[in-house]
Amino acid sequence: MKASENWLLVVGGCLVLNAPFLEIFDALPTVGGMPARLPAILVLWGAMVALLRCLALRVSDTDKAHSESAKS
Amino acid sequence: MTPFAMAVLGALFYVVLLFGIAFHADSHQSYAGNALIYTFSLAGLLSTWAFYGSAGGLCIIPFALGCSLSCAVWGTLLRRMARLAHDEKLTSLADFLAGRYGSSPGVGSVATLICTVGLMPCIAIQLRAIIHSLHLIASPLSQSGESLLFHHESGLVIALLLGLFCVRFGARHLDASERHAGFAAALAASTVVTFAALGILALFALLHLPHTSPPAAPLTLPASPQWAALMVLGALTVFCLPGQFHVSIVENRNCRQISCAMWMFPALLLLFTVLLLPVTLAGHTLPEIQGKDYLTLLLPLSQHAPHVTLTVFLGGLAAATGMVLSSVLTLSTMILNHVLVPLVLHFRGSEQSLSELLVRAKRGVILAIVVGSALLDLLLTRSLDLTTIALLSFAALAQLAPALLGGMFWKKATKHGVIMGALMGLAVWGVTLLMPALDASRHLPPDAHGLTGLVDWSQGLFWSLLVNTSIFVGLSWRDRLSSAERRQARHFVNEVSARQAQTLSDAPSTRDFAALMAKFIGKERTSAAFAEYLHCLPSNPSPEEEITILREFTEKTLSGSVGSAAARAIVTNYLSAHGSRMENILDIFAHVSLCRDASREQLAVLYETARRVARGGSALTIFNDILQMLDQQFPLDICLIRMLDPEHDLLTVQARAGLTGKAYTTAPVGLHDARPTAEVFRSQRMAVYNNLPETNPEKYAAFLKEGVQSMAHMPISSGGETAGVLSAFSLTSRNIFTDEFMEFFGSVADLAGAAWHNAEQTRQLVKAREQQRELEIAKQIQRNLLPDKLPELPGISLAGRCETAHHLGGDYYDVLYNKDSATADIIIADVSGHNVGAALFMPQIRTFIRALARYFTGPAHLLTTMNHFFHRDLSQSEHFITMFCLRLDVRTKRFRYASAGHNPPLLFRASRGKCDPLDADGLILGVLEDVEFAEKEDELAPGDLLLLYTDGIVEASNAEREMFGEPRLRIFLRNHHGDPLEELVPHLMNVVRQFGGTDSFEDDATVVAITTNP
Repeated sequence: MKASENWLLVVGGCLVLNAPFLEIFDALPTVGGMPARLPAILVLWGAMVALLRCLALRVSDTDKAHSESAKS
Repeated sequence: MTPFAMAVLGALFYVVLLFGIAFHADSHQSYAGNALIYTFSLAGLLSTWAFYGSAGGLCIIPFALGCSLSCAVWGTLLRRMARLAHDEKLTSLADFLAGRYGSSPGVGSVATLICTVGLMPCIAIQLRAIIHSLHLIASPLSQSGESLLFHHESGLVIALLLGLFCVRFGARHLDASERHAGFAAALAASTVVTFAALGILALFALLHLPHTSPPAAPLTLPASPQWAALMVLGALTVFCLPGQFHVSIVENRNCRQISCAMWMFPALLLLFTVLLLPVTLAGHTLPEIQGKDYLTLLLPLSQHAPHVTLTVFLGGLAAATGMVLSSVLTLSTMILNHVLVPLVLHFRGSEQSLSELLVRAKRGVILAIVVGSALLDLLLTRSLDLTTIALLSFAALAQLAPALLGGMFWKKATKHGVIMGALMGLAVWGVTLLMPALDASRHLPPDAHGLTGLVDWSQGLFWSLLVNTSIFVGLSWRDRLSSAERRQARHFVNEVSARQAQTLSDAPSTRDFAALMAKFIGKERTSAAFAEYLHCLPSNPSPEEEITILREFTEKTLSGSVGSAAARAIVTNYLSAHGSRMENILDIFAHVSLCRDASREQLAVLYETARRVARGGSALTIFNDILQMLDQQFPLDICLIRMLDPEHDLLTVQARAGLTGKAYTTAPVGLHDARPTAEVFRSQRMAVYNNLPETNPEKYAAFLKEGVQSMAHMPISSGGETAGVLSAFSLTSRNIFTDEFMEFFGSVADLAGAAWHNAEQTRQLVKAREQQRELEIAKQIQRNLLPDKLPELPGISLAGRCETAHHLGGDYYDVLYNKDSATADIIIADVSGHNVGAALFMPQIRTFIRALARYFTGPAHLLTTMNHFFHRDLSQSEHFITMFCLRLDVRTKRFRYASAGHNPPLLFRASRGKCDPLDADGLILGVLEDVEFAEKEDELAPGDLLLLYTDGIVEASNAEREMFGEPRLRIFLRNHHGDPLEELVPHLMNVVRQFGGTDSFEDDATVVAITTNP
């Protein structure tokens, strides 16, 4: 896994989860007094967790590959 | 039972449960590498500020989003940091920073200062949360007032219990790694309790609270600038919060933990937010609690749900506990390593063991932090809400981010940049964030909440970080890196092995390092650490490699106890003491050794003596230096070294120091005398007389007469044999030669013996070299005596060669051509032996022959005259000479010859294709004075080859002791008789050499070949 990919994810996450992008969701109707963008944030957050899970799996796979090549 | 009593009981039960979990995990190391425990312990970041305080403003969302985003780089950055921390045995955030910048004490101290400023308020709000929540449970309707003072007592009891917990699990002993499996398990348990409590509350809010009533006020998210700032702060806090650093890096045991946590940790943060939302929404429907701190607790209280209240209280307590534990433990480690240890090292002098002292100091620091934080809250920050204080703390800690993250990616970063940047950033933080917040808190009503006084706090964070980063980059760009910084920069940025360090000239041994370590971490832990070290030591390291590994190992192990900066200072000074000045040795031992003042001088003398011996030079100079040191460092009046004079069987004084005028004490001693020095020499055992007047006054009357009160003698061994005696006398003190001193005295004597042995070997080496040089000169002269070019004879070809076995040889050959008579005298001779004597005869023979050859009638005449002339010299020196002499008529090719016991030359007859020895016989020169030699005659036909040789050719032997012999020589001549002589002679030499299997001859080997030209 390249370090640059990780940093790209951080920068991308910062952009997506900040005002200019989130303001798009303010047009949606509010539910139960919650800000309109809040559900969108939670969904994006969940997506980010899924993405991180994929990253973690890649890290584990790389570790396993290294470990096996070291054994062999 | 009242709700308050239930809460107190519940809190006590929880603390006891925490103790149990921690004990259990501590004794079962299988929990140590558990990924779930690791992840849940990380989530302890969400302390009471998030549990109690964030419900009002939802600040937790951008903050937790920032934390989650930072997880994207954990797979690379956090793993690298964890690996570095483990490699370098860095046990705290300040250690890590100090280690990154060349183990700089300044960086460590500044980091500790910032962490103290940042963490104390953070700990304070945890304690306050415990106290306030107890107060709310006891009297829910009044949130401020005098009754708080009563509940402070209960809260302080719990705080002290937490302090004791930290002492139990954080300061039992000085651990080289500062890892505590029980501690991580306790943190994880706290998080689980917090989440469980929040989950129950969320369920309660969803089930029991009205959903139809509109919120009293709209629920708002932080505005854009604050949102972005909170995200940045969250991302930086993950790395810069000392407790978080400890849990994520120091407590990390394997890569799997990080891989697991990098998605589970954000998932837990998301879960926390999701659980918090219904609570927040429910709180907003109740005007009496809306927007207040402790909303999560006030909610069940307002609904009169005592069990849910108790659950929430325990959740808050758990959240507070987690933060207090991690913060207090890490802060105490940093204060100990970067403040107290340098102070202890500076103000030395205690008689107690340093490791015990440091353990006590750490316990004291832990309790001081807990009590200090409680007082800080009472005096300063009481009027600020939980979230404000937490964010202020995190903003202060974020001042370490440029140094930490910059240091991981930028090799040029310097310690000056870090120190100045962080200090200036902290100053800006104080001016733009802390002071306005404190000022605002004085003017705001007591029930105002939600980032009070921090309206522009995002700007404060921005400016403080900007100033910090600018100064950090600017100064780093301008400064030059020191060698230590450069090495660490390569190590941290590129992960280059720190083993590529400089080599050490005067390297101390493993035992030296072990002794140094034992002073700090005790003998037991040192033994354990060295056992691990030896286990992990690569096979067959070079001495330079081993000393580098040893140095790093010592530094890392010590850094676990005293911090990386102090460890580096100790090891560096220790090594410089080894290789440089005496003052340094004394200085370092003055700092390190807290007991045994006497041994300090002993070690200093021993190190300096060893250094002097290793440096080499005259033994007498070294002896004088050693005795001067002994005289200066110890209460001795006379120090002597006597060495054996084998010619006179005397022990003569070679060096002395101290008082003069004591003739008997300092006199030479006969080897067979009854004096103590001679007895020690003969018995090779030391002798100690601690109270001479009472030992044997009659026997030692001469010593007593010169005022000697006590004396000690130690044999000096050189090359396995006793070579002398080291003696020390005191005219003023008795009983000074203790066992400990004699052990040291023996070491000094050993070193003196080594110096003597070295000097002796050097002397012999020099002598051998001188002899060798002289022999080389003699050999060169001798070579010049042999003909470098043989005369050209008409119709005759000649070639000759002499190879000596040793530097000087006794072989000789010559060809003298007399044009007048057209005859050539060809001589070959061998003086017995291969020594200087043989070599000296050779020029005499040459001179004799060259001067008189033309006057002899023939070879027999020459040999007879020579024998007569040299007989006396040869017989007296027990040498003799074999010689073959031939006079060749160049025109007729006929030759007359005579032999004095020399190997008969071989004549290859071309006409017959056979090789026969000449019939040459006669007595060797030097045996009898009057000897007549028979002269015979023969002739060289065209193509015939005559070979004259010495015994070195035929007696050359191989590994089986088989000689080359005349038959092989005949075969050689038969096979190569047609070769040009200038090729045949070297070829023959090579064949004989190859037969012997060596590059040189065992004996001098000479060959002269004569043939007629076709």
